[in-house]
Amino acid sequence: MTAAPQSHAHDSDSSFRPPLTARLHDWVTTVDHKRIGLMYVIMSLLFLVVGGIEAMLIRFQLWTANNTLVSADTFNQLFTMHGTTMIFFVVMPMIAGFANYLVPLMIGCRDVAFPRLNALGFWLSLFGGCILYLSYFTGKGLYGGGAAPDVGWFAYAPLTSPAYARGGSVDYWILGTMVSGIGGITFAVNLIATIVTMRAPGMRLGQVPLFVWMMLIDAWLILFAFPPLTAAQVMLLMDRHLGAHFFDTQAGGSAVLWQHLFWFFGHPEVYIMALPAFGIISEVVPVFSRKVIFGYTSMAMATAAIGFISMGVWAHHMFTVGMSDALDAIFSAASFLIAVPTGIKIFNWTATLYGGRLRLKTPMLFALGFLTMFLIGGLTGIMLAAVPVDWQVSDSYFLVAHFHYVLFGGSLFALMAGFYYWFPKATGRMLGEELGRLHFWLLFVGFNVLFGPMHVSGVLGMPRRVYTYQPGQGWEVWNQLSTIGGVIMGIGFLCFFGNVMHSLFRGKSAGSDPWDAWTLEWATTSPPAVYNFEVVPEVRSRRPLWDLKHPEDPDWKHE
Amino acid sequence: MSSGAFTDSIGHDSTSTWSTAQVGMLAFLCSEAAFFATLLIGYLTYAGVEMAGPTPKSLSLPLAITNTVFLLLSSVTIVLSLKSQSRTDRSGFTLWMLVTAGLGMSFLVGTGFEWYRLIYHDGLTISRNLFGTTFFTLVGFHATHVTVGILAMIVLVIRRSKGWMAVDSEAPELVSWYWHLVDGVWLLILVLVYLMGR
Amino acid sequence: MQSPDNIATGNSHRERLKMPRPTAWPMVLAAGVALIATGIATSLAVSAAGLAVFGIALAGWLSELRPGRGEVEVPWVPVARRAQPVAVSQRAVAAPREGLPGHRVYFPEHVHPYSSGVVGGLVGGVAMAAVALAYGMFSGRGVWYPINMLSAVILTRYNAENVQAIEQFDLTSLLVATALHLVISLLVGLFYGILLPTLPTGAMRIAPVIWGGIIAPLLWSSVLYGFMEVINPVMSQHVAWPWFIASQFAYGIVAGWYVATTEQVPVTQTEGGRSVTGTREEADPDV
Repeated sequence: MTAAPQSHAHDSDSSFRPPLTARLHDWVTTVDHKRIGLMYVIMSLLFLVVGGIEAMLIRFQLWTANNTLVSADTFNQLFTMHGTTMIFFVVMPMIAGFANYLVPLMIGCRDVAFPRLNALGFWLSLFGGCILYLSYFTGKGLYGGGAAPDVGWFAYAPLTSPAYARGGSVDYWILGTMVSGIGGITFAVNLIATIVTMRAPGMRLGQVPLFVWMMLIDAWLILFAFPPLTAAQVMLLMDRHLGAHFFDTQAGGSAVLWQHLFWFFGHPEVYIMALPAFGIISEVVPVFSRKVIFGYTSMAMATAAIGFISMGVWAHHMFTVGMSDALDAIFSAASFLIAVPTGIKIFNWTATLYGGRLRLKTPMLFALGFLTMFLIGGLTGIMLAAVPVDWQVSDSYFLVAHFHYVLFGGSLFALMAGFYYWFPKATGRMLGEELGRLHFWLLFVGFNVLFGPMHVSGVLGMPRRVYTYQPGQGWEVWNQLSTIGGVIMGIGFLCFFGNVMHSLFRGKSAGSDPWDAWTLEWATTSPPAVYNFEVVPEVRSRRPLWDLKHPEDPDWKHE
Repeated sequence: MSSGAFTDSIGHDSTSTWSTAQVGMLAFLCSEAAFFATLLIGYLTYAGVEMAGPTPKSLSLPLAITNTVFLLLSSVTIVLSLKSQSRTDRSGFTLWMLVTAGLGMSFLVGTGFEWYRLIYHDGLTISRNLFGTTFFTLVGFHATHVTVGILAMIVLVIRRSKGWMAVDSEAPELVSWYWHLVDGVWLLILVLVYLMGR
Repeated sequence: MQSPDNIATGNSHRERLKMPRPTAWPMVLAAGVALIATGIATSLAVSAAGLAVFGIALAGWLSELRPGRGEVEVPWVPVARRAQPVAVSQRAVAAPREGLPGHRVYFPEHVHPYSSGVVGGLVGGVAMAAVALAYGMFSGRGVWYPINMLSAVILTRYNAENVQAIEQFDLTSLLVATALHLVISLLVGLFYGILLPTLPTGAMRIAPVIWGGIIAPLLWSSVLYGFMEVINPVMSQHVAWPWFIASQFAYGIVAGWYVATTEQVPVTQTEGGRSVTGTREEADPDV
């Protein structure tokens, strides 16, 4: 290893350009939080393409009644792989990528607490995804659809028992998500240690950007949600390979135990995916409204409240399994409760927008898209938290519409806002505004045409996860609308990838601070040097760059 | 904005009293606790429902208490080892660390003996019944953690003797935290499996 | 970052920094874990290989942790490529006003009192009921017909086949329908009272009536049109949509008109007992 191998990337626009192998070697051996963050994001985008293709196949299969584009078995594999991919290998790594890249910059330190552990976390995530997709190359191989898992992303017992899931398909699901889950835990440990002990001089925990606050709570949620999943998956592996009986009802085991254990992970996981989105929105909305975030403290407190409550609502995924009325009532009430801190956030963002000088650049468009779409998802969530409504529409397309409004309209729109917002910081070049707008509008329209009608088809009684349906139930038109929406979104993503490719090489030069923003990451160059800051800045308020830009009226006089 | 309707009460000075490695270890131990809590919940879910085959009554309480003594003593000796390190007393550090590892190994031998008895005399295997399923999973993962702890101690001793570890290294202290957690988990197992389950 | 507000703290002036040394061991260790896992699904031989890789990687990683091993000195980048000090902004900023609650928070300066929403909602509710009852009379089905159809949201005694029953007077049904109508009228009225002043008005005094009287009822009616089948099957069978939408408009226009005509009062904050209003942060948006 040479003296300073990592400086290569930042020298790449000068005359010296090392050979490809050397550059690849630099990426594989890197412990730089920024490069690891970028690798997470690239991994996420790759899996986004794969998961998106799976979703399109699902949509084309459902275009009309009794369609035969894919077989029932393949369809089961498609929705399982789509769900697992999107949650574990698209949204999670994208979040980890953003957090890795931004948190050290935002709190003014030179790297994360444990740089090598950080690299380990990334490679575990990536290899976890590889293990999952290895399943397609087993069994009959790709030609016969492979032996991909086909038990749905929550893999209910007894579908996963050796009797019903022959071959290794379920093992690939368990092992892939387990390995990436261990990666998630190392990521969380790292992030907590970084945020708690490595802030810039003078920066109190009550002064970190809200994105950092929300990532801190997020990391704690990961720490308490992922180990139970790992334990449950270990139990499942014991059942499958050593003849244990945890979920084996024949021998007195309980299939419902799996549901409890899975959703004890599964519901916090929803907030693990949502909190970073909230954090991104809390950064983008103030900058593009030219105002201070409304209610910083209440925002941080609401985040902590969401973290706590989200650990106690898991069984609202199980209202239809036949729990006692008392349990139903408790979990329903807890689920209603979580609407309160979430509502506080929505009102805070709206109050930040109110009276601001809005600049409708692409990041802001996505942030506004997030606000509206997440609101719809949140409201249908309140509907579903009511037990009688849940009994009616659970496991129908209404539910599918709900969680896509939360996870796609919520998390992914926010991640896209963040992508447009911080792309200049990471690459030194702006993402194209025209293609960006086109991307947003195609995505926004396509999203609503795709998932809006699912509310209706669900209320009309269409169950989720059916590979086809009979004619004459009035479902065709809603499914066709959904498929058209999917195509529109696909075109939108083509615009996005085209935009990224074009902007990487031809984009407008960004400079250190293209958005006139106020948090520390904009104080250094774009992209930052390997050590982030030559001089670690001292911080006196929540908006250190505002203090520098407006010495006549700095924030620290008011905080 | 702290002067508004909301008071600023969430901040403290960034001069944290905890080191980075300590916070990291603490966070990791939280995840370990969550992992063992899940395994314990798995055990308790099926505790006492077993109709056929060996039940917790087959467990030997004297053996479990002997094992507990080994582990509790080891938690004391690892503290003695740390004390020696703070006095930069290398031989004391090495000695007490080896004693700790030895007590851990005694625990493992005890567990091995217990498993041998259960498997070959009582016919209890992981697939025999729900008690076997939950017991072997829980105790097995605990024993794995004990093994990892012992390996970590041996690594510490080697590194200290070869001078590969800074004198003020936090590693021994962090390993001791881990060891105390493993110890605490064992006390829970003792109460829930060996005492209450009978 | 050399401004007086940003004093360099604890950094060496040698223009070199110690950074963690790049290493492949984390990747190899992860590969070991992945191989161990894959072996469970394929063959234990793969797991054994994975264990070997894991052990080697762990040993390599531990060797990186020896004092002085895992670090590398990185020189600062050339001066031309370093970050420039953050410049003082030339942009005009609206000054925060004295006695502001919170730092640079912006509130609506004047709002309608809650009472205007409550009364507006009730007045709108009367107008809506009038249109609905007019429909009952003009259609020849009688005034109880629309009332009973509304109560069918909750009561199960009506079904789509038995039209006669829907035309008959029924006390329970009257009470249920009245309670529903009052509560919803009141809540929507409150909502109007709070929301309407924040919507863009342009120069039009009449704008709240357009928002509250036309746009909101249109949205609401279209949602109901889609979901009526589920919410109230009886009504969806028998409802006359033009009249239904007309009654929604009647509510919206009357309630919106009432709210818009009431006197706005300044927002009063209890902070320090002073009556204050908000401000914008930056007056000039020329980016």
